[in-house]
Parts: sequence; structure tokens; C-alpha cells
Amino acid sequence: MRYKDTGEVHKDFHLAVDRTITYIMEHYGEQFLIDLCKRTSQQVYQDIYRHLKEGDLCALAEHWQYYYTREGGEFTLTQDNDQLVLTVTKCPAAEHIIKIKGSLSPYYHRFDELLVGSWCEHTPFVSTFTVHNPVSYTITVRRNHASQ
Amino acid sequence: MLASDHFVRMYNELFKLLEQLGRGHLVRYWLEISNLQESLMQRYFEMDGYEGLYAYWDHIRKEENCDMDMQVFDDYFELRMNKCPSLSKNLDNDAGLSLNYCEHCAGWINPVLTKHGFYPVYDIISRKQPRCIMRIFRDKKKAIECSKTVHELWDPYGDLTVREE
Repeated sequence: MRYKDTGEVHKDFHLAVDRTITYIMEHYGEQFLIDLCKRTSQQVYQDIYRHLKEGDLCALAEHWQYYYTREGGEFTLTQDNDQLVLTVTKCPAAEHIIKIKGSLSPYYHRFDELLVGSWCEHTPFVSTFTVHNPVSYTITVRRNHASQ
Repeated sequence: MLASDHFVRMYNELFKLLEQLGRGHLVRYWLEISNLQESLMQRYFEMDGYEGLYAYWDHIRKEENCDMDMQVFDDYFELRMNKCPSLSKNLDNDAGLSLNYCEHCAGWINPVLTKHGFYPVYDIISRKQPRCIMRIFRDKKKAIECSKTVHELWDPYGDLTVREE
């Protein structure tokens, strides 16, 4: 893994993410948020993105497994050669934001969806993001055979 | 979910994007986060003066895994960051460091401190080394005196500027 943090977790950063998403959407609009997500997914997480472009889901799977575990999330992750499915029943970020401020940014899940979408851009994969309730969602990254 | 450990790398990118639009865009974002910062610090301001500041940064020291030393003196509170985890992460960032990265720290903490009657003197020291010194005074004159002795003062809102009457 390119980044692998250890030690304590500072969950208040999720509040800053939530506030930042709302601020961007209200002042700059969705295209700006898309640009930020692309830079984050494709440049900050260059290693994950490179693996996806090569058709390899392992780096993304390892990243999700590590960080959802590290933050105390409740989730299942299934993977085969063509598909990675992350089902989150209790998102630690969303849960912390709701606990402290009462609700999520109306754009919170859109941000997550854009991050994953940016990871899949120009790769053999496509993604879907389904929200079940504020702290629960399923992300599917599957091979797009139509693009092969 | 963006991992909380990686928020600093995401906003390093945000700083680059905002700076491209103009300096004012960056400053307005700092002020937005400053409002959030104030709500998170409120209970520490209700404690006794510098001891409240100590308690707040002690909480940050643990949660953010900071290597830093803090001390309360008669006239000020001092925080010596020996290895900033935030800048360290962005020195180890495949997207590259925003050279103005360190500026955000005083950009969002200074308005909160001055609103509560404190005058921070923030010595960045270097924008590429993960260390800095912040001394926080109650007495503005003492803060101004201190600001003349630091290596690289960062006073984003000119709080320590001596204005001609």
C-alpha cells in the first residue's frame, strides 16, 4: 500500500470534509468538486489509479479493507477478477459527522460517488454507488466488458 | 469515504485549485474552516486561559500523532512542532506539495484565537520542513515584540501589524 497510516485516528477531519463539500458546491458548483475528486483519486492515489488502469482491483480492495477497518467501520468486501463490491452498513465517517453535527452535507454521498467514479475514469472499470441510508451504502466497481 | 488520515492530502489539492482562482478564494475557504474550528474549540475556551489552549492541543497531539512540545509560560503558551504530521503527509504525497500549504494553519486558527482575546505569533520556519513554533499571547504588545524575533512570521490577517495612528 502506498499510504498506510498507523496510530490514533482524528475523526474530526470528517467534519472538515463535510463542511468543505458543502462550501465547494455552494460557492463553485459540481464541476469544481469533480475536478477536486479527479485530482484526489488520480494524483494523490496515483498508485491505486495505476493499478485500476492496468485492470487490477487489488490496490483499491486493500485500501478499502485497511481504512474502513482502521476507522471502525462495519462493512463487507467481496472481490473476484471482474468485480469489487464494498457494502458498508455503518460508515465511520458519516456516523461521526451525524453524531457531532446532526446531519450530513446534502452532497456528502455525491462526493464519495465522484471519488470512486474518478478512480474508474479511463480504466477498464465502471462504478455504481447506491445509498441505503445516511450511514449505509454499496459501491460496486466492475469490469466493463463493453470497453474491452 | 475519504479516510480521515487523507483529508490533508485532499485539501492540499484544494489549496492548489483555489489559489489558481486567486488568493482571495483561498482565504475565504480558510475562514469557512475557521468557523468549524471555533465550534470544535469552544469548550476549551471555557477553560482557564492558556490551560485551555494546552488542553486543546494536547488532544490534537494525541489524535493527530504529533511530535510536539508544549509549555505554558507566565505570558504566553508555546507550541513547538517537531514533526508536523500534516506537512509530513504532504511531503509524502504523489500529487506534490502546495508550496503555500503551511499557511492554512494560521489561516484558520488565528481568527478563532483573536476572537477570544489571544494573539498568536506563528513562525513557519520553513515551508518544506515539518516543524514550526507558535507562541500565543494575551498581551498584544508582547506578541508584536515576539513577532520581531521569529524566523518566518506568518500573520495572514495582519493582526500583529502596527498601524500608524
